[in-house]
Amino acid sequence: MTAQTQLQPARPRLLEHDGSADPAAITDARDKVLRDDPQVLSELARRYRPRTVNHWLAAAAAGLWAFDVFVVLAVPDTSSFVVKGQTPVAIVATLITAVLGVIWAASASPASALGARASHWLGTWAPWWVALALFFLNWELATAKAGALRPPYFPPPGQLLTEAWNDRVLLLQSIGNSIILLVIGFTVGAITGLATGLWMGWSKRAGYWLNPIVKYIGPVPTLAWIPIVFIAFKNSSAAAIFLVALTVWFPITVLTNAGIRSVPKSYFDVCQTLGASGRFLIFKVSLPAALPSIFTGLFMALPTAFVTLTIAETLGVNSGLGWYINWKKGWSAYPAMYAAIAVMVVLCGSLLSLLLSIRTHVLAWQKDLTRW
Amino acid sequence: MVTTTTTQATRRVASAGGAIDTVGVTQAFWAHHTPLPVLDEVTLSVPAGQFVSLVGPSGCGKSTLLRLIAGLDRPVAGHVYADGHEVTGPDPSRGIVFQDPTLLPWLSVEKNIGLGPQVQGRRDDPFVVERVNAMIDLVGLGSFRDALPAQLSGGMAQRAALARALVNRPQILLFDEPLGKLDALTRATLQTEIVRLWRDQGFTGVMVTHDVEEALLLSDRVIVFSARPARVLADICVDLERPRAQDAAGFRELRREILALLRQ
Repeated sequence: MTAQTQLQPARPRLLEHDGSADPAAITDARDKVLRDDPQVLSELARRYRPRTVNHWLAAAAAGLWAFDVFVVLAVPDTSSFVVKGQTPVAIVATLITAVLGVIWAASASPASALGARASHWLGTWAPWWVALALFFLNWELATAKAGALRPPYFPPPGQLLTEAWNDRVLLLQSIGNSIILLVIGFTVGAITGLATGLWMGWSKRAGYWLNPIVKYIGPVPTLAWIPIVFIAFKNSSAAAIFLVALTVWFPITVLTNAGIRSVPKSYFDVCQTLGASGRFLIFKVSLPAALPSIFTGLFMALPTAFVTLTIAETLGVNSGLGWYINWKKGWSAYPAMYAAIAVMVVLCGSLLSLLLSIRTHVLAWQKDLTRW
Repeated sequence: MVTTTTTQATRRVASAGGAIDTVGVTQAFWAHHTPLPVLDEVTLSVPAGQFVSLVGPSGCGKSTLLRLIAGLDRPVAGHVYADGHEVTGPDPSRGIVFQDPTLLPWLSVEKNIGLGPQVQGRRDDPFVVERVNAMIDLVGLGSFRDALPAQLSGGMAQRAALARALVNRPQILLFDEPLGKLDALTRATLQTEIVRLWRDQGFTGVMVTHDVEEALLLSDRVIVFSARPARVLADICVDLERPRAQDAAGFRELRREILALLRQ
């Protein structure tokens, strides 16, 4: 027996519009009947099942991290150099094991909202935690246990952790300074870029005068301005902010302008016949319509902002992560330098992911939005 | 002045429509370094509350005339009057519905339909809110009020565009091939719906269309244009009982007459 023949008799027959009732009401009623149909529901649940925990992978992730703890503590260290920081490393690995274990336990009850989230999270990320545990295991074995790779160039994980911890005040200051400069520079650049792009896109005269400036100033590597900028600005932080803003300003200007100019003219026609003012057309029509293009600009601007900031810090500003890395390299303090690089990886990656998730959220109206 | 008192137009007593007059309207564009004349001294008069269709060969300038009436463009010569006042720019009293629904894709159906009141800063006026809701129900989009335009079918999007134009209570509603991109079934439904809305709301309707049958089903009058530069070839009064049937004798006769004119 096919599914169709099973389904038909169970449903009330609310079929064609016979003219006696409101057609929309009949459609709604038929919709409701189908939505409540258990077979429809179970089949949809089967097809659109969200990603859920795979218990084998979850067990592998938690188990491998537990095994890492065991290896760190139980396998004797190499005698070829003094291995530092095994206890903190064991603590960190234990914490990771515990967190994974707790999430795994929570995922066992998928009926609750928390359990469902845990299940989804593990279903998505368990393979990565397995991979990270294996990477960590190999690193630990090759350095601290076998002594095949040695400090200072190849420190074991514990040494990285200890030296970063011992230098935490300076490291945190550097992170803070970098973030402050980046956020201010990026915001200033984005706002001025948006304003320039809007103005150019909207006013022909502004486009005439600004286009050549943007096209000739924009593509110059920001670092070429460094000598002038550090002379012009007494304050080196202000100089770095200016450089970051300049880097960000260019792509955002160009892409805002392009976005504004590609807004379908019919949007303006329709809004004008509805009585829209010029102000409305700029801020409520052009700007939202140009958002996809503007986000492309922001996406291109962010990594170049990282580049500019890091180099500006290295060359002129005596603080920040870029400076810290160079400073530690000067002292041959490789573990601390690696730690700072790791912080940078996490920081840049997180900021970019943040931008992308804002984009996904803001552009949700776009048909077939591609997630980057 | 053309004599065009049709039964329908005179029957509706209190008309909310506005009269349209174009006097010697000529329009031209620059194209490839030469002037391209599009409208050749078009003089037309549409009494308040009438529904008029403009038919003519493709690219003859019908839509151009519509844009001039809407106030989106200015003619190079001649004058356009709406209710006796010269048209100098777009105005909420003259709505337009294009072939593409042109809903703003980032706004929900409800917000798109409420765009007119919003741009005039009257979105929170309870009277306006009520009118927006009534319009949404009138075009049958009640269960889609929070949907985004990307989630609508072509017919639903066009209904939303219609509702958006009607929220402003336009005296004149201009249609630029509003059903051109829809499938035959949806087109037939929406044709009926446009007639219903026109009767209920009492606006003056001007519709550009390629479809002679559509023109005959909907209008009190069909204006036939020549090839570009467009001039009025014929002004045909459609004095048929509504609702109209394509197989009525009078209908077929008018259809044949118009098609013969278009083939000239």
